[in-house]
Amino acid sequence: MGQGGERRKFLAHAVQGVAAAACGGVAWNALLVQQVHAVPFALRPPGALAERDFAAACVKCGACVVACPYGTLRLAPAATGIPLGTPHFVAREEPCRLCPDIPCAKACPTGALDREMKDINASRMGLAVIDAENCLSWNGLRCEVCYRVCPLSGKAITIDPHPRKLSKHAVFVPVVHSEACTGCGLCERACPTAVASVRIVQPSLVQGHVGEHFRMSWKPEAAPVEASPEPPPSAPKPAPAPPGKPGNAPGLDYFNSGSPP
Amino acid sequence: MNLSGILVVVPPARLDAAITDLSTLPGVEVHHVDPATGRLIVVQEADGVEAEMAGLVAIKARPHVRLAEMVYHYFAPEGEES
Amino acid sequence: MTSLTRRAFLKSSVAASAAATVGLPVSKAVLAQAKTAEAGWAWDKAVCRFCGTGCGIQVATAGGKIVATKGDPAAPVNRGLNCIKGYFNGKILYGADRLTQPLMRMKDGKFDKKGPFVPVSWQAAFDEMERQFRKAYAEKGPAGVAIIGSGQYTIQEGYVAAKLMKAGFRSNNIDPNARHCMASAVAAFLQVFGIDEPANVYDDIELADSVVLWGANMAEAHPILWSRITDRRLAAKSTKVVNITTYRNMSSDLADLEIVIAPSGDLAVQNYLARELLARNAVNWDFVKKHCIFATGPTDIGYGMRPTSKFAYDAEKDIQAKELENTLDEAEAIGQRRKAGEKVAQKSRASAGAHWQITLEEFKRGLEPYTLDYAAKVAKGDPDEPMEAFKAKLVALADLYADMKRNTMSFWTMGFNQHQRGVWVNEQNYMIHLLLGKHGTPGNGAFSLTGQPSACGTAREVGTFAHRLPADMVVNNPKHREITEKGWKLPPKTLNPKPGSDIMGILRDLEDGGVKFLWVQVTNPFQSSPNANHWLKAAREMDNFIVVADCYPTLSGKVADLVLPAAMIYEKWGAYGNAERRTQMWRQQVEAPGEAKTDVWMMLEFAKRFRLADVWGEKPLPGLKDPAFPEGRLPDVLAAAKAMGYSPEQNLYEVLFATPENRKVAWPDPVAKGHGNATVKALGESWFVEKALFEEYAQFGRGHHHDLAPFDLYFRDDVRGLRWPVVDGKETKYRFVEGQDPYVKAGEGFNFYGGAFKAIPTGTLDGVTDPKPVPLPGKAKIFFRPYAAPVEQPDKDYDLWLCTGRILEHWHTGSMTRRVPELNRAAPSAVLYMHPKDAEKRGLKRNDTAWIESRRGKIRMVVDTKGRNQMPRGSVFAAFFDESLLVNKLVLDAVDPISRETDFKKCAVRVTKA
Repeated sequence: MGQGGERRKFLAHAVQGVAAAACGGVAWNALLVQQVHAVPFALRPPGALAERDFAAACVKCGACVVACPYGTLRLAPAATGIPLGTPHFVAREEPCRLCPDIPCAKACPTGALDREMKDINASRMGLAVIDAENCLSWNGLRCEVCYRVCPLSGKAITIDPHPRKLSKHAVFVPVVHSEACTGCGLCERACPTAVASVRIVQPSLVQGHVGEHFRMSWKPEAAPVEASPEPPPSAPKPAPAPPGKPGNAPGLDYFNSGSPP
Repeated sequence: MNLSGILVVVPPARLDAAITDLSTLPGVEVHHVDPATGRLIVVQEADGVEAEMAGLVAIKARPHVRLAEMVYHYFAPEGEES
Repeated sequence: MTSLTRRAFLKSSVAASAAATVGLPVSKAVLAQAKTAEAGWAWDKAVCRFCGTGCGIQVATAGGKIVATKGDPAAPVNRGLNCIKGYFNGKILYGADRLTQPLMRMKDGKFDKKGPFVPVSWQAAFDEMERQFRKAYAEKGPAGVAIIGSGQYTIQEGYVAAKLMKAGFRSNNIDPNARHCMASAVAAFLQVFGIDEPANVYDDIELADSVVLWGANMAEAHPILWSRITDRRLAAKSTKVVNITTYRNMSSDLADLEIVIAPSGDLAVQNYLARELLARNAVNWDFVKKHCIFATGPTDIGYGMRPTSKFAYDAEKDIQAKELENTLDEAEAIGQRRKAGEKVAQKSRASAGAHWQITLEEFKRGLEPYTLDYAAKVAKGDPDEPMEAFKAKLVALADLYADMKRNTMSFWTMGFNQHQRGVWVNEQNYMIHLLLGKHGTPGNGAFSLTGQPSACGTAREVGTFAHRLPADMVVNNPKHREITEKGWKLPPKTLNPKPGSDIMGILRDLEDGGVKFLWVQVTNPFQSSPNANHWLKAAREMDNFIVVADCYPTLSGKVADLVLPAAMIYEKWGAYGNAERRTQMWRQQVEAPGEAKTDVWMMLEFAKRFRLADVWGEKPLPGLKDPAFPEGRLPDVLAAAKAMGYSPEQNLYEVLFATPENRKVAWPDPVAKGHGNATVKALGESWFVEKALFEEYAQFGRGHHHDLAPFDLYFRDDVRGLRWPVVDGKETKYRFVEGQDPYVKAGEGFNFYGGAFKAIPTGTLDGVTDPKPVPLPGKAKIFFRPYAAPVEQPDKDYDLWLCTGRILEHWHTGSMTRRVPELNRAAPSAVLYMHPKDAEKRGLKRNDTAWIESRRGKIRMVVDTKGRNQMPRGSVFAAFFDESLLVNKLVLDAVDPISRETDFKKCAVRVTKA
């Protein structure tokens, strides 16, 4: 980066709350858009502890960076918003290749990376999310590059064909499955759109949660509750009435307020 | 070549006048407009960082402009200038 | 990209990113912005540069550059869609290393074969080319010079190349890379129907109930057609898709039935199906009796390798020896009703394509050994699949074919065409469909797909093959030569009656010194041809001169002596013909960069340098034996030429191309709508070269079953290509069918009117009994072709099958697609797909590097044990787009002895940890 010196000067006296992306684009947004996180999401090596614990446990020794055979990992420089000197990678530039022997985690002296991790496919570095508006495949082009480069294709990314309706062609829609996606970023790296239409993000930023009160019975993971032939040994007791003060029973306020329409 | 994406906020009623006015500035193009909130995205092209900062100051000084802030910045890597 | 468009692009990206960052609603604003930006853009229709599907695209130009492309929503083939290659059509022109200047090997200011490449002027390039051509031509005659052309030639380029070589230099050594691609399909069309190219159309996809893929991974190789098949499968639940393949690929994802077969097992399966159709009486006897006859041919036809071991590496000699004598294994012996271990001299190598009529009883006798047990034993391709499961699949396949209520389409491409018995397997699919009476009708047919954008339109229809002339005519037919000589206004006996060297032949000629001048156009044969080590060495170490015209640096350019910078698709006028006979044209959209020029201009300029006196005198042609010609010589035709009004001093440009008739076709022409013409401009002429030559060429086919429309009609705004024959401005959907095909008369029902091989002897399965040719007007032939074992099979030294092919992201040798950074990022290098257990056995795991070694060469590749292709144990797959890995160093150069098409799909290798 030939303009590095000048650029840092610029950053220093021009802006507060700087967030810099690594490839020449810089976004200053913390002041302007409240919902965007001030600290950017860093893709950590496989087996990393949760972010806060990781930052605390990592001694920034660079052993994982040295151990990575693909040059994927790098230590965060200053002014990136990522804690200085911690290892991370930028998927669009150099994704994680999911080495079966996990040399980076094994090299960690502190346990910031799980040295005991056996199955690289169990790592959860992030979650791939597809921008359906800009994804070529979602728009009907025969691309599906993300599916083919996915080391867990068929599990982490599947292709769901739909009729296109506009013509007698099908649309091959790639779908990410969070239960298998490692967040390795090979898809983000390979995506052919000018700006990647599949990105690795922090799962909590995009994942919803159905809630515990409802199960989708048609989904295989929701194991059917076996209907027991006999009534359960002890019938559940009715919920005890809340210890209300007399004259303040639930609903009373409503019933007594105003006059009926 | 340096390109900066700048958020400019003007009173919605003054939007048209502001667009015309901003477009007269050297290297400045208005790209996106949100009429409801009076927010504009302009792209400024400048040779170097100093020129960009001067440009931003100039935008801030235009009539109607309530806020002008750098939002996105692009540096052409060396050798890709042309 | 110019600084202007790059800047505009960057600015809108910056604006969009900025807007997104602050949550500004952009869609409407972007739309308005995009419209303003596009206001100065000129959109025009064109064709995709890549595969044989023939998708329509729209190209936008501004400021002399292509700024955008889109799928053409009006194009019936793709309705606005593209695959990932098509998406980048506009970008392939602007790779950073476009060739813009002629480059020649020089030392001390003059050409030197051992010198480094140096930029030279066109003048200097042509001077040296002329000198070298004259040297080779004087020493060896017409057989000593050659052109390797392409199924990516525009129609006009192919026509100029064929006419220059055949009429001008009187050499038949011109052969396209299409030889590697669909020569087997062509030979089968000609033998079965007497005329080339499919009877059916893509519209049949939407009418089919059963779609059977034979050796065609359409999901990757024909992506847009695959989306139509998928849509059909989704829309009509009763539709069944069958994928018959040697390994699990992406097409299996949709398939209801996946049948993994062993290499060459297809022949056993096809004959089992035919036997089954007869046994179940699922034959449309009415159709068969009215429109078909039965036929067969010799089986001792060799494998298209060299008959001598002189040039073979020591390790190659055992396989090469089988070219002359082969020992039958048990499967082959049963399939051919002979004894296992029998040594068979390959006596019919020179007459591999001969065939004769047989009776229905003989046909049945041929099929008799092809029981379910036999077919399953020979064809089962996955050692981990239980035999009974595999048999059940074959029965299910037979059930689908035998169901008279189901519309059935069979599709195939390279798994069939690139096959040591490629013509046979093609013919056996027609056998099945003809027995069923399901061919060339809506939703029913055997459909040979093509791999290149104008394999049909140019290589086949124009006839840029070593044995062909325009419109399905051939050089070794005196009548065809006479018609062509009349059409081209040549003196009688100008045309050379001896078929030239096919593409493998030309490469072998380089190795043994037979060819000394080679011009390569629109292709990359030194990467795309098998057994590459031989030809790379021949190019560099033999006394020869190799010219490569291309738009980007390729391996072929690297081993050449002169590299000419060529204009790309939208930098010239052109026309392509796709797999459903659809001819599509485009206008020149932009100018080529630097000094890059159109291939047509290069050939016309070269033609100017030769006088009739140089080429139409007596010429030696070793090996020529033809009753109408003196032995070993082409006669002097200058006197006859003089009588026709030619002067020996006239050059080939004037005589063959800028004829008085062609000069009447004026440039500028209103059809251009202001678009430029680089060929005309560089020639400094005022005749419309591409239009005049198209019309001249079209004369050969009009009225002869190959009618093309007038040039201008293809440019009408509402036309998106037309499927020939186009008679009275109307295209033809189904050929040979009454009511559809203008050449079929009322009351005929069907008429397989093709004229080739329509009078054949009579015989039995074992040979000809009556050599007298019996005419068979209007009939199609149902062939019996037995199982034949692959000539090289895995053994203890080389224990794995290797199959090679294409992937979705890259086109052939990657000379264009690898220039698009996005595509290169999506699939940066070729990997070796193998079964995890095969990998484990060799101490390999995913992402490890391995050595792959065959009798012919050795390369290193990274191993992949999952992903797009899932190999059965015992087989590995590698794509050939990656120049740095040169998979073709490994591949056996056996070809189909009838079609001379290479078998890239099966050879034996070993894999070890690197």
